[in-house]
Amino acid sequence: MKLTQIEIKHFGSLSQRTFSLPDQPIAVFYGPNEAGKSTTVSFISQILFGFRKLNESSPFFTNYRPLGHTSLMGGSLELVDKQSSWRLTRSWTKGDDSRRGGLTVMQAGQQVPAAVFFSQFKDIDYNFYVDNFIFNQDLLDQLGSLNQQDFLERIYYLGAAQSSDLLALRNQLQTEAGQIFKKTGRKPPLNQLLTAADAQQDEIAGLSDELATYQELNKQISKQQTQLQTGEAEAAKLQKQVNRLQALTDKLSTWQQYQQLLHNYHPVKFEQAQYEQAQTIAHQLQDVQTELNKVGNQQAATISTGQMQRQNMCLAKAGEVRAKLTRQLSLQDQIKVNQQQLAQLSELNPGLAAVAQLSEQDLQTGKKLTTTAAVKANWQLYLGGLGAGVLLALLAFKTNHLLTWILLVAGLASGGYGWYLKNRHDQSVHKLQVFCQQHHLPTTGLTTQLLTSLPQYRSLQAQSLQQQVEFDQLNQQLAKFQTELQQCFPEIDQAAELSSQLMAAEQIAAGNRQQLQAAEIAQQHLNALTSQAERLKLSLQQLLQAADVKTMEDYQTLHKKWLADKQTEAQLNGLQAAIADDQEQLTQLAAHPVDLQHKLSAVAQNLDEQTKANNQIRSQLAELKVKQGQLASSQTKQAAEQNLSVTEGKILNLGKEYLADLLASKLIDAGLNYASSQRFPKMLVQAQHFFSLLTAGRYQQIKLGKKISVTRSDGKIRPVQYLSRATGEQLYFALKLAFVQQISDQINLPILIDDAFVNFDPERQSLIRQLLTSLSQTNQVIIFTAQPGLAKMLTDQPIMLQKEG
Amino acid sequence: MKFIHLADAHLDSPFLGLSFLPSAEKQNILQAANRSFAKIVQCALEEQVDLVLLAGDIFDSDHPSPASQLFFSQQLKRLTDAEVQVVMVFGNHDHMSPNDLLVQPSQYFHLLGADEKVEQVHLQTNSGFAYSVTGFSYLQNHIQTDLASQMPAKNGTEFAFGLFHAGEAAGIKQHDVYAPFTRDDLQRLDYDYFALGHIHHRQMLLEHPLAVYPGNIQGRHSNELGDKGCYLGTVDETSHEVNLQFIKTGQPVWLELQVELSHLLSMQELTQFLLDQLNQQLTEKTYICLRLVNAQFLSDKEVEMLQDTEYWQDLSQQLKDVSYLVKVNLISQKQLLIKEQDRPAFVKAEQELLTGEALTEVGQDLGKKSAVLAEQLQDKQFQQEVFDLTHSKLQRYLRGLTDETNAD
Repeated sequence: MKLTQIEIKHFGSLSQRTFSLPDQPIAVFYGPNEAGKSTTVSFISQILFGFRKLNESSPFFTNYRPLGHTSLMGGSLELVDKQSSWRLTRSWTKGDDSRRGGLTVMQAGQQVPAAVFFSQFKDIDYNFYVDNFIFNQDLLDQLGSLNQQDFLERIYYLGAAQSSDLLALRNQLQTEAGQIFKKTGRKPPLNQLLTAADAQQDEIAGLSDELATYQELNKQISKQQTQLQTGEAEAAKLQKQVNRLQALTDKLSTWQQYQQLLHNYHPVKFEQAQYEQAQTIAHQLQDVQTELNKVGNQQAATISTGQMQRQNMCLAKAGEVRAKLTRQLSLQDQIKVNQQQLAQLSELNPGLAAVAQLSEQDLQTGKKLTTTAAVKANWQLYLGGLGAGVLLALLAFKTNHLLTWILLVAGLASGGYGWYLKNRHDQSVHKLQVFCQQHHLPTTGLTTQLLTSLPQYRSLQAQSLQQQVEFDQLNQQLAKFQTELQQCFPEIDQAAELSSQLMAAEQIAAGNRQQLQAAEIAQQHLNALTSQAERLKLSLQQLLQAADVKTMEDYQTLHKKWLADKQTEAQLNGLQAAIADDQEQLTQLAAHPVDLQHKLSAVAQNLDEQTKANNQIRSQLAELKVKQGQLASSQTKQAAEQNLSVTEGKILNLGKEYLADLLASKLIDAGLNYASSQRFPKMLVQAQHFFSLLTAGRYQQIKLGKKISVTRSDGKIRPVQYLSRATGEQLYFALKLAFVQQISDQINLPILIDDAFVNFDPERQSLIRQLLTSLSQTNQVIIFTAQPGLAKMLTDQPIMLQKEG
Repeated sequence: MKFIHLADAHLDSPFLGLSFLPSAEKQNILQAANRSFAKIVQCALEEQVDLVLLAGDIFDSDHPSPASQLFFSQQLKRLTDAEVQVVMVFGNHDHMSPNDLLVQPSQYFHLLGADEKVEQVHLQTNSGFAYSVTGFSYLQNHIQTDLASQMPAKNGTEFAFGLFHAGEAAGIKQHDVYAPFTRDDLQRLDYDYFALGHIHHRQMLLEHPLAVYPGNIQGRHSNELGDKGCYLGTVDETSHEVNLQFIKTGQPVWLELQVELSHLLSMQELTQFLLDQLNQQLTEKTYICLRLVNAQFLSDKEVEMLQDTEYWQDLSQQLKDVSYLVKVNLISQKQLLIKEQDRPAFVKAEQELLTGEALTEVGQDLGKKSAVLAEQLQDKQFQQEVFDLTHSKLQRYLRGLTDETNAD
């Protein structure tokens, strides 16, 4: 895009100026200092991208002054590109909302939205334009901080939508990577882990001799085991010797004991079978004697025959006595029955007992009195006759006086007779009462009932009396017998009844009879035993004589002696067996027992020494085995290797993080680079070309890193800070121009160059011209210069800028 | 005939990246390789195999600890006492002198090619089936020669085993240092079974002739995923056909379990979601390498939480089968959160930079300082993890930019 006209209404020190630019790739503004060259540069950039006030820091507007309060600020630019012509008019007056000023964009005479125009430049902003397309003194201040990033960022800006963010991210990733690992450093964690891993590896290298040590121990153990085997064999040999000598020592004592025992051994003559026979007979005899004693004692307990006879005589009456006892009991019952009958009769007939006591005479008297008193005197009837006679007389008096009289007399006679009868009855009753009182009879007297019962009563009384007499006689006879019985059997219960005593006596008598029989049998047995005892004594005596002893006790003593002899004999046999093999040697040794002791001591000492030596080997062997065992179960190496593995695990993890950070940062670079069509390498080639031109070939190569360095034609590399100021400026110029040219396909705006920036000394002018010509093939180049020579060299028709007023 | 083929036991090997585990669990995992080895021996005894082939790297180093050696010796004795033939070669890790091997001499134990030369033994089963085992051991940690090509041709009809610890030639000199062989070598030899070791990932290299890597016997880190153990082979003595059965003995197993996020979750929701998702996938005691896909849905705090090993432990306490979370890989959506017009440039940048070459260059300084890193820089999985992390980081930061932009 080319600028064709600049129309300044009011801007800074300039007002109402219009400059038409030639239709050539290079336009030159010529004017002395303060003529408005910088203001014009500002005007162009601010009409394009908006006004900047004084208080906004910008290196370009040191000479900018706002106009008066009422004045309008602004103007127009006319531009053309291949497709169209544009007119941009921007103005600002006090009170406008936008500080950037109001912008009107006309495309080919038609107003269009501003975005239509700006979209052609990737929507770059004021700063981008100023930083890249304008070259003046102010930019030199940035020279020291010039680095690759500036260029990358700006180039990437063209490619990726979020280039700034992505670049920041890339830097962050690089920083993070650097925090994990540094090529030369100790502090980053990965460096520390690597150091630790080295140390652990060294440690493992030191430990890897475990196997060799184990095998060395194996050899030593094997050697010691051989030694121990030899030592143990030697010890076993010595032990055998010691055992042999010890055995001989022990046998010597046995031998001596044997000899002693043999010396005192005198066996007796003794027949075991005979002794046993004698012993049997003696035992039998003893048994017979015991039986004899027992039988004798039984005989002494028998009662006398006389006593037995008396008892028998007493008991001969037993039948009779028992009959009497029966009779006695029968009588007793009869008496009792009679008494009961008598009592019953007395009860039924009160006064019967008294009547029974009456003599015959009294009885007759009583009977007579009772009969008299019992006659019913009908005196009441006669007295009634009196009453009836009177009454009838009274009745008959009216009718018949005679009759009345007869009746009256008859009545009176009846009454008198009744009176007489009554008196006679009362007297009889009184006599009876007196009689009854005298004989304790009931007042009724001797009633018929009493008299009827009387014979029965009297018969019963007589029977009772007779029975009682008989009973008393029996009692006496039995009492006499009882006394007799108690004398014959004093052991029976004296208090018991006779019948019981009799039965007991009979039992005793029976027992006594049996006893007497047993005593007779015992006597026969005693006689038999006595004869057996005699026989046995004889047999025993014969045996004792045969054994040449007098008594059985002697024979027993002899037996004990014989037993002791047998024991001694066994001892002798045992001792002889123990020494049998060595008897000959022992006989010799017995002569010099001390030699044997000395020999035993010497061999035992050797054995002790050998045992000690063996123990020492065993102890060493145990130690070696412990060491070997420790190695065998040693986890040291495994643990060390595991530790290393842990560290390596961490290294891998952290390494992955580091590598991922680095890869990611590189990926962003590459992505941005591809997005910007890999402009950067091309730009670098172009910049080198420009720099070579600007330095007349003294510098060939530019290297862009964090800091820029350049390679001189002699191959030496110079960092930018060591370049002369002029060379530095040339480098910067070359890079920026290359950059602008590189992006020209997307952002094609005029390049504005202030000669204060470039050292266009005469010697280089042809080279500069060559450079600008190259540049102007892509971009319009507008030079602002105060050097007439330069202006003349570049164009025939410079645009003249003149200082106002 | 029955045989067991195992390799790469790496007894004594440390475990990488498990420093955060509770000490009891650490002890447990340190014994894991021994346990697995003992199980294989047990299996050999129970199956009454005729032969056990040990294809190198039984120990993790050429100076194994006596403890480890004694363990190995005891286990070997179980086999030889049972009259099981054991043929062993050393690998690039346990390249040691035969004298350093603490194994009781036995007529049933054979160490092949201890002088780094091909050696052959002729054996026969109890039933009289004759076979040979041909192989070689390492004397140094590298063998640059193709020793397989020097192996003798098959002897008539005798069943032939090849036994060695080696990697297939890649054509790159500095990489071909593990007795590099070619498939042509094996096909030319035409043995009945090549018992190989060195590659920890179980695989059948060739079917005709059979060339098998049984993998290592116990997963030790996130690069050794899946079931680990040995192969039990049954030979048809007439046709010489081999029927292979994998015997799983390694426990715990290392697994990569993937969980996909579909939207933003609170920290609490995220924890519950992870527990549910992981527990669903667990069937046995597992060391889990969590591949959390769509990590762009995570907040910075959640990312921080997920990278905190204490959080792993807390989470592990609620996992089934005493499993442990031991690694978290955050995988962000493939498409970078960048303005659409710039995306092609960044895709191109990713294609250019997320490559082994670029990573090697970026990690050059680091590789010089750390052998383990230098080695890992060449490891495809490690590279991928770095790329995933790079991508995930970028996504997180880019989302920050987007969020800030949105916030404005």
